[in-house]
Amino acid sequence: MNKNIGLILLTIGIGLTAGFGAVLSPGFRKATLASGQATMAAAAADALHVEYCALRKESRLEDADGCGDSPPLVGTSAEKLSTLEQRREIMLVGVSQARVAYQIALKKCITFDAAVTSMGTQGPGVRLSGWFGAGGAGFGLGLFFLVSGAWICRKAAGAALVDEGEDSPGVIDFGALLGEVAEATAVLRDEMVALDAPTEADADQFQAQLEEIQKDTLARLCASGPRVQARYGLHGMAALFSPLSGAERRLNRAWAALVDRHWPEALESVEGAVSELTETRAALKALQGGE
Amino acid sequence: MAEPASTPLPLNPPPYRELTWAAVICGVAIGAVMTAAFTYVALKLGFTLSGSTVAAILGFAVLRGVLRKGSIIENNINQTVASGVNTASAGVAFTLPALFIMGESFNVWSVILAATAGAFLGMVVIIPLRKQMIEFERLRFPSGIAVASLLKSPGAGARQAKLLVGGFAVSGAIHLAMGTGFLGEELNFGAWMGLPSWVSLSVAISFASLGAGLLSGRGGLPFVFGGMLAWWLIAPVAVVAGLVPAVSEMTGINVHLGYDDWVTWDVLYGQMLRPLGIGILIGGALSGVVASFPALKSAISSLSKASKTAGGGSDELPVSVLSGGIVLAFAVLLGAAMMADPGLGFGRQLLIAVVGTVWLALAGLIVAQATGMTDISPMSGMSLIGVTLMFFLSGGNVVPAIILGVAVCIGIGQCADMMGDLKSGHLIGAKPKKQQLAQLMVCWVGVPVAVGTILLLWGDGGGFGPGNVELSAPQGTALAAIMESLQAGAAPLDKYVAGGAVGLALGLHPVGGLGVLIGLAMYLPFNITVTYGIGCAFNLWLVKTRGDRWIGDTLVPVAAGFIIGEALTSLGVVLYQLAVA
Repeated sequence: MNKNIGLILLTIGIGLTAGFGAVLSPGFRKATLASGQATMAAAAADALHVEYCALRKESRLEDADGCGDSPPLVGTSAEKLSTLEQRREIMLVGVSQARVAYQIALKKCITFDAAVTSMGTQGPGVRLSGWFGAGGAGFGLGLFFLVSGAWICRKAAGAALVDEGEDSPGVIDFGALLGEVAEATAVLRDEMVALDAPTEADADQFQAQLEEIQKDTLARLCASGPRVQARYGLHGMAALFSPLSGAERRLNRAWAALVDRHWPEALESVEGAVSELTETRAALKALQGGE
Repeated sequence: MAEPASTPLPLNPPPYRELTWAAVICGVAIGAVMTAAFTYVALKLGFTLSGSTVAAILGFAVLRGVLRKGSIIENNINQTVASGVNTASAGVAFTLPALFIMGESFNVWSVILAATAGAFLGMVVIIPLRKQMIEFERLRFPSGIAVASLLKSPGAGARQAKLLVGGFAVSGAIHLAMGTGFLGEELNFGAWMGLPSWVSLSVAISFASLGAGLLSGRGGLPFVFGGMLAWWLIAPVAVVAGLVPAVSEMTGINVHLGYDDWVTWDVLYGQMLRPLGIGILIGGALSGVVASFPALKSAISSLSKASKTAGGGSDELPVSVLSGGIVLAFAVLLGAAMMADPGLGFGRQLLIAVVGTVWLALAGLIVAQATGMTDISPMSGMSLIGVTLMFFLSGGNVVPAIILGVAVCIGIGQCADMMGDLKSGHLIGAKPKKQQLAQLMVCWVGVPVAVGTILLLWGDGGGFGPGNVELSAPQGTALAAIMESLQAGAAPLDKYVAGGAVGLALGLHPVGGLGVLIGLAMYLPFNITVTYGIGCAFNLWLVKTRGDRWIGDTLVPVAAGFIIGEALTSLGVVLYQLAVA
C-alpha cells in the first residue's frame, strides 16, 4: 500500500516538476515568439524563391537571382533584397509577379529580424528569475511530491525485500546458492587437477561443465545484488560482490582459456575462482555473524 | 580444421596471450586508421562510429588469421586499444572545427596538450569506478555485451554463432535498405494519422536501439517512462496550454510553413526538454554518487589493497598509479590552459583547469552510467556544458573555452569507452589491469592523428564549415553558433537548475540511476526511446515466457547481432557514400 502511495506521489511529482520546470520565462517566451516569426518568415521567403526559380526555368530564362547555376543569394534578408534590387530584367508577368512576391517576403523578414534584434538576449540570470516567477510555485509543489514519493518508495522497497520469506517465489537463498556454486566449482577444479594428460575432448567437456555453472547458479547469484544490498546494506553488498564478481570473472577467463586450449591458464583461473568463492563465503559468514 | 578429440593438450605452453606487442601494435594501427577516417566522417556527416566491433573483427583476422596465435583475451586488448585510440575522433571533430569556423587564431600545441591531458584524465578518473559500475551495479553496457559475444564466438558453439549471424544479417539488411534510401528512418504513425509533430508517435527503425533494449530489459523501463512523460504529457500540454508561442500569436506570416516543426524541435525540444534533460542528468548523477558512496569507498579501498599486493599479483591497477596520473594530467591541462591564453592570469588558468577536471570526472561518470544503462551517450550535451563552463570561467574568451572543451569531450569519451571495454573484458575474463594499462599506453595516440586530420582538411583556409558543400562540419558549426549565442549572453540556466533539482530528488528513489535514465529520455528525440522501449518490453515478455536461461542462450546473441549489424553496416554505408560523393 505504502509503495503504491509512494509511486502515485512520485509520478505526480515528476509530472509537476518536469512540466513547470519546462516553463519558459515571460521575457524568453516573447523572444522565442519573435524568433519563431522570423524563422517562419524566412521559410516563407525561401518557398517563394523556389517558386520563382521554377517559373524562371519554365519560362526558359537564364539562371540568375540565385536560381539554377547562378551564384546563390547570400547574407541577411536585407543583403539578399539589395542584390535583387540591383538587377533589372524584362520578363513575363507571371515570373515578374513571383519575383516581386519574393521581394515582399524578404521585406517582411527584415521587419521580423529587426524585432528579434530589438528584443536583445535574455541572460541566464534574467531567465532564471523569470522562470522562477512564472513556474516556481508549481515546481516547488511538484518537488515536494517527488521527494515524498521517492522517500516512501525507498522505505517500502527496503522493508519488502527484508521481510520477504525465503520461500517466496523468486526469492533465492544467497548462502545456499553460493554454497552450490562454490561446491560445483571445487568439483570442477578437482576433476581438472586429477587429469594428467588432458585432451581436446576433456577441454570440451570442462567447457560445457563450466557453462552449466555460469548460466545457471552463478547467473542467479550475481543477479541477487539488490536483495543482498537490502539485507546487508551497500557496504555489506560490496564486501560480498567484490570477491564474487572476481570469481565470476575468473570463471569467464577459464572458459576463454579452454576455448583457446590453454590448459594451465584454465586450471589456474578455476583455482582462483575457488579461492574467491571461499572468500565470499567467509565474508557472508562475517556479515551474518554481525546481524 | 578441428583437432581430433583425443589430441593431448600441451601442459607447458607459452604464457597465455593477453597484453602482447602484437595486440597493441595491431590495435594502434586499426585505431589510427579509424581515427583519421572517422574524423573525416564527422566533418562530413556530423557523427562518428564506435570502433570496438570493427577492431574485434579485424583483430580476429590479424591475430588469429595471419599470426595464428591470438587468444580471445588478446583480441580484447587489441579491441580495447583500437577503440581507445579512436575516441579522439569524436572529441576533436565535434569541438575543434568551431575555432577554425569562427576565425580564431590559436596555438595548435595547446590543443594537443589539452586533448592529451583530457584523454589521460578520462581514463584515470573512471578506472576506480569499474568495481562500482560493473561488479556492484552490474550495468548492462549493451555494446560491451555485443563485443563480448563477438569475442566469444569461436567457442560459443554453432547455435549461438548462427543466432549472432542471423541478428547481424537482419539488422544489416534493414540498415542497408535505409542507408540506400529504400526504407525510411522511422515509422511515423503520428504523421500517418494526421497528428502534429509535437504529439510524437514515431518509431525509429534502429535494430541497434532495439538490441540495446532487448539486453537491458526491466532496467531500461524508467528511460521509456521519461520519454513518455516528455513527449506525451509535457509537450502536448505545453502547446495546448499556451506555454509556447501559439499559432494565433504569429501575425503577419503564413504559419502553415513549418509551425509544427518549429515548435516541436526549436522550442519544445531545443529550449525546454533537452536543457531540462541535461539538468536532470547532472542532478541524477550527483545524487547517484552520494547514494552509492559506501560502495564507492569500498571500491577505492579495494584498489588501495591492490597497491599493497606484493609482486604485482593483483588484477587491479594500483591507486598510486591512478592518483599520480590525475596529478600529472591535471598539470598538463593547466599547462594547456596557460598556453591557450597567456593573458588570462594564473588564478583564472588554475580555476579553469580545476573546474575542467572536476567537470570531466562528473560528466564522464554521467556518460558512462548512461551508456551502461541504455547504450546511448549524452556526450554532446555534457561537452556543451563543459564548453559553457569554460567560457564563463575564462571571462567570455572563446579560445580557451573551446580548447579546454576539446579536453573535456575527449575525456568523457574515454570514460564511456573504457567502461564498455572493461565490461567486455569482464565477460571474457580479461584482467582489468592489463586492459587499463594497454589503454593508458595509447590513449594519446588518436589526438595528433585527429588534430592532424583537421589541420590537413582545413588546408589554407575554408576546407570545411558552413557553406562548404563537401565538408559542412555540422557539429563544429553548431558549437560555433552556440559560442556566438553565449557571447551574446544566452544560456538556459533556468532549465539546468530546475533539471538539477529534479535529478537530485530522483536520487532518493530506490531504483538506482533513475535520474540519469529520465534525464536521458528528455535529452533524446522520442522515436529512439520508443524503439529501445519495445526492446525492453520484449525482454520482459521473453523472461516471463522463456526464462532467464533462454535469454542468455538465445536472446543475447541475437541482440548482439542486431547491434553489431547496424554498427558495421553504418560504416559500410558511410564508406559507400564517401566513395560516390
